[in-house]
Amino acid sequence: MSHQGSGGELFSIMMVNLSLKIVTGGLYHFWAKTRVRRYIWSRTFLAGEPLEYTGKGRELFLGYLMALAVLLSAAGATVLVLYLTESSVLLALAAALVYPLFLFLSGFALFSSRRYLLSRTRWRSIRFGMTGSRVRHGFMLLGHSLLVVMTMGLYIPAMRNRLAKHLMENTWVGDRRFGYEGRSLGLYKKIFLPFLAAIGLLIGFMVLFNVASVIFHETVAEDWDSSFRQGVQAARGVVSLVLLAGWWIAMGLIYMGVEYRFIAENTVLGGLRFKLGYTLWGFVRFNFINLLLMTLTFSLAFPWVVARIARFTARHLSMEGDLDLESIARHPHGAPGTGEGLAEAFDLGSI
Amino acid sequence: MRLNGHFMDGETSRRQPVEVMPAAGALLIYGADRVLVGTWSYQGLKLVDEALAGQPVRFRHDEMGEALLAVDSHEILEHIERSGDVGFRKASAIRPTRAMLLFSVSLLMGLIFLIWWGVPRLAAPLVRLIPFAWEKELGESVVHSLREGRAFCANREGAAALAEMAGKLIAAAGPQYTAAGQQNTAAGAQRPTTVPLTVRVIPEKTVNAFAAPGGQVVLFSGLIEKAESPEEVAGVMAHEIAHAIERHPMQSMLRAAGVFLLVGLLVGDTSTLGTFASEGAKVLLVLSYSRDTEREADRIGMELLNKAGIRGDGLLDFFARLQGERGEEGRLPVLFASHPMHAERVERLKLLATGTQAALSQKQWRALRGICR
Repeated sequence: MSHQGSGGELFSIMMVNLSLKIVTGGLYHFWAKTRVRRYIWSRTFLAGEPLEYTGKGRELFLGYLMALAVLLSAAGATVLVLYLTESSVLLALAAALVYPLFLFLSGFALFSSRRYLLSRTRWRSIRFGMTGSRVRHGFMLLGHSLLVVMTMGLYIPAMRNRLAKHLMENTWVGDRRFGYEGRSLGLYKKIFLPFLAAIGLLIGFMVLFNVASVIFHETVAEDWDSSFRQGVQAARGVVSLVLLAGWWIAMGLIYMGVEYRFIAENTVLGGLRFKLGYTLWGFVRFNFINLLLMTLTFSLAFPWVVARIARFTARHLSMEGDLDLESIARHPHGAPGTGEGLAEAFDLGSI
Repeated sequence: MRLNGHFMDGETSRRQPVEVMPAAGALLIYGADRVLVGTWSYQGLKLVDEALAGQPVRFRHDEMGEALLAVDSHEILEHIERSGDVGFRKASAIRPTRAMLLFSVSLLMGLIFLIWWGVPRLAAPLVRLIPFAWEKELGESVVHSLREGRAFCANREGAAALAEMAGKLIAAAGPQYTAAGQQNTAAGAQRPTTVPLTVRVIPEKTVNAFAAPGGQVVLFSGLIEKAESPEEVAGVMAHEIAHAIERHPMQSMLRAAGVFLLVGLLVGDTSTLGTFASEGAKVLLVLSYSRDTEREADRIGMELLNKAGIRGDGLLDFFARLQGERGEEGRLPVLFASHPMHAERVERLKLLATGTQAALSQKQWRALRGICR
């Protein structure tokens, strides 16, 4: 698999998108997103043939309007009822339900937007697609989030695995269904060692750092002016904080790196198994550079970062096993009419 | 003329190599063994995207469903055009046209220019549209929140000395200004159309003073304690009064709001990093305008001192001492400091001072120092 898009071309597309968004008071957003996707898809090649994005801006726009209409009327109705009845019981109930509702809708929107995206993706003229229930995904996200809260975050890998399973097992290309074999325990096992190593590294480094600075202060800096020493102390504090922040980011990246690899290698399509072949160090370093690029350029580097990510993913994504690439037939079902309304209303993602 | 390519019928993912022959009115597609696989009329034929270098030209057809035909050589396009181009359509190109690019660049440059150049220029005239009464309310609430519940310093002799000093400077500002504050003078009440300036002291150790919107000038007690002569206090007071009469604080707020609006427009819907970027840009822009207003306040403040006849070297002494203590203000890059570098200021101000008298008598100075008792 390969991606041949360039950051420069994406930049010109995004620049035009921005000015059109300004001129249309933001309305162009849906067509802008469509254009970016068309570019990225069309520059991504699988077995010599590019992907195609067949979505339309108006589909996203209509989806957004519908979702907005539903959300606003529901919210409006709730407010009206609360106002008219003036019941504090109902008010408490409404307040308690807001966050769970939000979680449910997030799950719903996630499934919905993925479904739309896949249904508008073609390869060798065969469409991708999804079956399954958005409502179910909403409830899954809600339920699992509760478990995450109860376990103070320890449940997160399990949650993400289960949600990935639900999504993957409902994903189709033509008449072939994807399968997913990942077990939550497997993911935990894969995280364990890298996390242990990272924590060990942190502790070791902290110890060394503190020992070194104590020695430094006792010997070299002993004769120095006290205000200068204080300055050095302060500098040391700042450096520690920066390193800690960096380590924290690295931990998050390590987790994402392990998780993506895990999901990929547990995804199957007939006799085909997928694989993301990067090393954890390679993944962390790659993303750190992306972060640096974005920070140093005040986000101007975004198009180049997107291109980098597309190239990196395509380069490391591979398939093993056998599947007759010639024999996928088109799926008998149709595709959803409009797209992603709820996801847009929640502003999920910029691509 | 037969061109190589490949064909996908949309029913399966099978990709078969074909030969394409442009005929009159249609493309003839031949598969293996020279079998005719499809006839695609030019009417209804469309390009999937612009033909990229090194890539085959890809076609779809309105009547052929999801089928896709790819021809390796770009010559096919010439052949099609030569046959009369009946109903042949191109899909909307993904990459923007040169005209679009030009338009975008101009628009974005224009907006950036507007933010950089226009907003500061507009703030000054716009501020005149704002009624002073509104400004005063705003300023009073700013001062109130900065006061943090503490009462203003109001020792009687100290307040009188303060009013004396402030009075001289306000009078120097012009007849349209009067002194408001702890004692409403009878003269002030007789001229309600004038602009009242309020000078007060808050018990706070920091060595600082500021002007809030609506003619509100506040000195911190730390400043009075740090000063070694009344001329030093008068210098700072004159600087702040200058801010007040030029309505700089309100202008800054307008600028900040304008920058906020326009940068928000430019950056639009973005990630947290985009927000970070725009916040950083806003701060830098707002700070750069304030360096200009500081220079203006220095100049006008010195004019007030000169007109009131007060010696201007107090201000210089004060700055010199502050500079000596903090070291060269090169700690913060000039870009980030909202006040121009001290050395720069001192040089500029030395040239302007002409006053010769003391700001207060020794007795009044002692009283002023005790204003917070």
